[in-house]
Amino acid sequence: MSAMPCTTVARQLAAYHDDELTMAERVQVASHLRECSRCAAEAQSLQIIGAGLRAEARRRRGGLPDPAVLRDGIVGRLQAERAVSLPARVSSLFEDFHLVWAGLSAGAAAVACVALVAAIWAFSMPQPAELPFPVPGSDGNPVALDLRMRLPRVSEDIVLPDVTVPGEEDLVFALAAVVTREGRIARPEVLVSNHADRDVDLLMNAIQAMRLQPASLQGNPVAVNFVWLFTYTTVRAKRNG
Amino acid sequence: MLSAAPDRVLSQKELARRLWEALEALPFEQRTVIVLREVDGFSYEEIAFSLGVAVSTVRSRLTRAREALRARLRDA
Repeated sequence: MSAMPCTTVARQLAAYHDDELTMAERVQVASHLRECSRCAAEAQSLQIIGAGLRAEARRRRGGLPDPAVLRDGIVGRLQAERAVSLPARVSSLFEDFHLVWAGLSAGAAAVACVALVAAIWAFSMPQPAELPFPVPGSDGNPVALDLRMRLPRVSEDIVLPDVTVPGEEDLVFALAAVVTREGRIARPEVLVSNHADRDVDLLMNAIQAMRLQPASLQGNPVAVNFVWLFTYTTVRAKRNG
Repeated sequence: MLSAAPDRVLSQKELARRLWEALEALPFEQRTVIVLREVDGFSYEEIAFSLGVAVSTVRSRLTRAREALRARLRDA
């Protein structure tokens, strides 16, 4: 039997299953599981529950990509949005060969413009320079949520339209969107839903009309990429928990 | 452990269906965290941040949700 007792492993088993342990802890628990059939059975039950939920979710969500792939897609998309700065865009322009000449022409034009602007500037009153790409946190360049930020909040009661949700199941869907500096919801995109798209579409207009208190960083409003999990229920019973 | 005697072994499809039924019976907060973790693959920190709760709260809700799912499956 390994040095780590069953009681300790039992406390860490969920975190082990969820890949939330440090490497050292993970090695210790894995070593214990190889030698302890009782704890190994507990670990297997966690796997069974997880695999079962994923399988049923895939079946119900029908045709949607594997959640792990989906999650990578979400994270990748957010990272991509952060990466869309002027250098990245210029770089991507030159990746496509047929745009090389257009790029060179645009570059030459840009140089000419810069020279012209510099000449005009030299003979005019100093003015605040405009940045060549949207400032991070502006509506044109929303940033990822940050632990230092104050999160966007709902500032008023939201009245959503009545939607008949088939079956007993709540209508649940994940929505990716940008919350602008004014608290508006822009570029909404339904990532996953457990119901037909038309059910979600009925709610989208109301959701897009929502006005939130925008996210803020050090007291200044910033536009952010945001992912929400919406649950819309027609069940009259009080929610538990 | 969830395995049972051979005559009561559930097919994977049936097991998944019963698990989902048990999931739907969970309190909203527990259901949310276990779906975000097991189905959507978010980390504890990401779930905590998204829901505006502490990581320790995510852990405890996950534990309660899994215990409830286990219990329902044992009864099945």
